[in-house]
Amino acid sequence: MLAGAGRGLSYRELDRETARVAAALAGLGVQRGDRVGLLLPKSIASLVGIWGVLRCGAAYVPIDPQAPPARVVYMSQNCGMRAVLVSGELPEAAAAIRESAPEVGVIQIDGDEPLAGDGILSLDAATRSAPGFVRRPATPRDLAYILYTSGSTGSPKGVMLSHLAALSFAEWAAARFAIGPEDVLGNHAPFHFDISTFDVFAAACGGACVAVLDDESVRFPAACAQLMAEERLTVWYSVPGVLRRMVRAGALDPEALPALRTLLFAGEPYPVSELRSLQTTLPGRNLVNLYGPTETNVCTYWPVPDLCNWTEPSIPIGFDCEGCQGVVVDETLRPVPDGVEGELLVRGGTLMSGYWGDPEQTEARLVPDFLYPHLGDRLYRTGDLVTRRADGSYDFHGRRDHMIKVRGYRVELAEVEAALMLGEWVAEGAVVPFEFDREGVRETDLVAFIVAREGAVPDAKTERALRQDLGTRIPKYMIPAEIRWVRSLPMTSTGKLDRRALRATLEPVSN
Amino acid sequence: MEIVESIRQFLREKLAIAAADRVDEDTPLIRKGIIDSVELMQIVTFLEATYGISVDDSEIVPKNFRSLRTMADFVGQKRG
Repeated sequence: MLAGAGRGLSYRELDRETARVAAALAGLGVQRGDRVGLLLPKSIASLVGIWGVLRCGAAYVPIDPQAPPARVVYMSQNCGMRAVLVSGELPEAAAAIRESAPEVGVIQIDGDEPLAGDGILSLDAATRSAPGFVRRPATPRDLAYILYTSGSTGSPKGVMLSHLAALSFAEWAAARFAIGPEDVLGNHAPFHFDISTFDVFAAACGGACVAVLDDESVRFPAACAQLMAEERLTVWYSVPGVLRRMVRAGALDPEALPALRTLLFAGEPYPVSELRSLQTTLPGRNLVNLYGPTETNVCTYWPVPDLCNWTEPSIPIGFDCEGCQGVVVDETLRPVPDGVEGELLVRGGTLMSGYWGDPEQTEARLVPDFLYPHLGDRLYRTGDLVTRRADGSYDFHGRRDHMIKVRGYRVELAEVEAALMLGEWVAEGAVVPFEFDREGVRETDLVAFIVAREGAVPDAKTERALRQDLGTRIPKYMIPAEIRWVRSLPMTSTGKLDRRALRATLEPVSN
Repeated sequence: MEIVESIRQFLREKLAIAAADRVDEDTPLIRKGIIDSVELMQIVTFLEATYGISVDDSEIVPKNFRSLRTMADFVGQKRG
């Protein structure tokens, strides 16, 4: 069943509600292969929406309800959404999408407040003109969903995932973590984050219950821990930051969480000392470090052993998932021996189909599988630098490029820099990551170095205006935590931006 | 009232939140995406420094920090 906010749905009821959404979409003319946006706060209705879109043969595109309207409109136009499912809770966002694209069908499937007005249909109204029964079973290569992630060219890019990719991951995860009908999975991650595909699809594979945790509670460590207990969660999956904050706040009480058996985390490295405190706080639970970019979903995993004697500075990202294979290569794409650092390439069923509308980027990242050329498959270039150990597990060392993680979210520095330049204050701008100490929890965030444009006064007032402007272009987690006005940006001898020199000005001087 | 306005000013001036002047006292700030979890912690620090209160981790819950009004009420109680 599905549970959340005091409401529950059995799988039979889910089937019935899903059928209505699918029929409503078909009534609007949504065809197999079309894209349908989900502009919904986290609730059971968003799950009904996901399954409804899939049942109609279309691909769902989850939209971050907190993203600036301009970004929402960009996504809707970029992938040519045919319809959008909206909530009465988000009237402004629903109106923005309606105004920007009058040809897009808009159906309200959630929220007590009916969204009046121009062209927004209620589910009842939309099903009135709809065919009675819709079921369009997908073929493995059909698109199931598109997830937008930060793009290095200044705009977000849409990662296309097929039914094959979704199922490959879900079936692996359900089997590996023995998900069954007695399990309760806590849906913590938002639906535009691929972590949520575990909660939705692995739960369905195992017939488990999904408890949808609301957008508000998940941002309060104490409230989040309380929901974990109340919903009697058995399996947890989130970015490390969420667990780290709950441990730090002393919010995790092992006696209140007797059913919680497995905790999975992914998205960024979990610092060893803090992982050890999680293990001490919740003894006897399975902790598993998962790794994989959106383009591959999870492709390696590492069951965390007892860390009391762990002396290494970090933990591995682990072993190839069953159904995936990694290969470590040098810059000419030639495999390197164990222990030598190189880029991780991945093959397997979970791989993306490509980037929406961007064959060039797709070609660059999905390269012909040179290991088994006769199969005609492709390998995904993760851009992550790793070494392989003799036992087959990998250690993560960083990135080849300028993509970083902020609270588990991917951020392309170039996208933030492009957003800075769009305002009227910035002549040149560069951003670099920095580890901030936030009440004992070290978190990566961005620092921007900015050369003011002529006429712009580099003061607090300008900074405020610049921040507000950024807020209309990029999500909050991409907005630099700190802005420094400088007279010029350092260049390398080849005339490129010297990010290392910028970072050096931030590092505390050692010795 | 005075506390509500000082938090609003903090949102506008220090956090550069454009919507600061449009939210009413009962707008759920987190749910509407007006502040995120990092900004929430900045508000907690601001309230501690400005009103000389000490906020325990267990008090950082939606009941106390949902809206400008609940934050002001919470500060009022702590000082009371």
